[in-house]
Amino acid sequence: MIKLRRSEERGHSELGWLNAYQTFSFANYHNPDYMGFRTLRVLNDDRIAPGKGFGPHAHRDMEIITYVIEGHLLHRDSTGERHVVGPNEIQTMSAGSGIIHSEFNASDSELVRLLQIWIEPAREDLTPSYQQIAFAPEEKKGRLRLLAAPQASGPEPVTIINQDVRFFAADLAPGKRVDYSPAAERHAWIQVVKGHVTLNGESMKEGDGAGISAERELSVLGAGSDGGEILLFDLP
Amino acid sequence: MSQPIVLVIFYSRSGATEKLALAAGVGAVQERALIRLRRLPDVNPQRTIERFPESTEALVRMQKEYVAPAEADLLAADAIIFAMPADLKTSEDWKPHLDMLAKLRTEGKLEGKLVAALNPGSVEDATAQGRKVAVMAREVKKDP
Repeated sequence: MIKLRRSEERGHSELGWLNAYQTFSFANYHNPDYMGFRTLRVLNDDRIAPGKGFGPHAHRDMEIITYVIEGHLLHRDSTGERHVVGPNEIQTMSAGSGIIHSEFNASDSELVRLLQIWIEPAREDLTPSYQQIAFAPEEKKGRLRLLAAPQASGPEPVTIINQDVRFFAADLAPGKRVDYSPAAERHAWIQVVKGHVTLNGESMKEGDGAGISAERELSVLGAGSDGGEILLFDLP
Repeated sequence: MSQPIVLVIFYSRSGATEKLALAAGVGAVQERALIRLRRLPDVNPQRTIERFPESTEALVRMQKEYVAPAEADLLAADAIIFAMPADLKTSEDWKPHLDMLAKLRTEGKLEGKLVAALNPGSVEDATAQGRKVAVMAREVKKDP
């Protein structure tokens, strides 16, 4: 079963410095039908104005992945980590027993657009940690590039998350296709980051998402004049 | 029972006291409190930077990252932790905020809230103090 979550149905906050769309309930956006999907709890599409950001705030017992689409984000946290994350990089923070961090647009002149993703961990009270990896844009062109998983496998670096979730990105030119076969009893979420794709023939555009259960074959095709970029979560 | 809210109010120029305030906040989060972090302001940020040029980078960053405590923060908090530099001299910049505290106290709106001052010490000490405050705040919030 594939249930579409159209971009225009998401929560929306326009605060001047922040233009944010929330796929699931978050902060002042509450939708009891969209409290998350399996262990995927939050999926926010944030555009942060130059020089602005989220001041220091706390997290506990959450795996937080930040996927920057354009611009650069400066992360600082209470463990002493200080990093700038940009396109074709991924940051995975395990909040564990407790962490405080801030997230600011690293530029005083350019917008930053990012997806912030929260995944419920398999256990509580983990030791907080931070990981960041970079990858070449070609690694996600026409294929699903694995970016986060519960363990490393294969030669491409991934960030390790404390949950049985595999997280991929794919950049599909018009007519380029990726196929994915979730194992039995597994679920999936597909989010369109940019452009247009079709999922098993159904058209999807930027900001659309799809919750997938009991499907053994998924086929995503780049569509429109520019194709599209997707994230795919393989979920327990 | 709802989670206790711990408000950490601090002042820092070099970032040293900020580090302890953050550690106290982390301690409170470890005990499953919700926290708010607020920094007492530099009303004239540029003047403060000119007076303490050795702390320019930390001052610019903290002036950007933190907001000052508001009445809503104090009313929402179950516990307030103050973290101040050891060589503290009260700044004229803080008068509006200290006046606000005094007004709320006079109106009885701080009654029942726990208040703690962070002792100067290590990050580990500050984390432990944050944990203790959160535990006490949780106990005080329990239904009898």
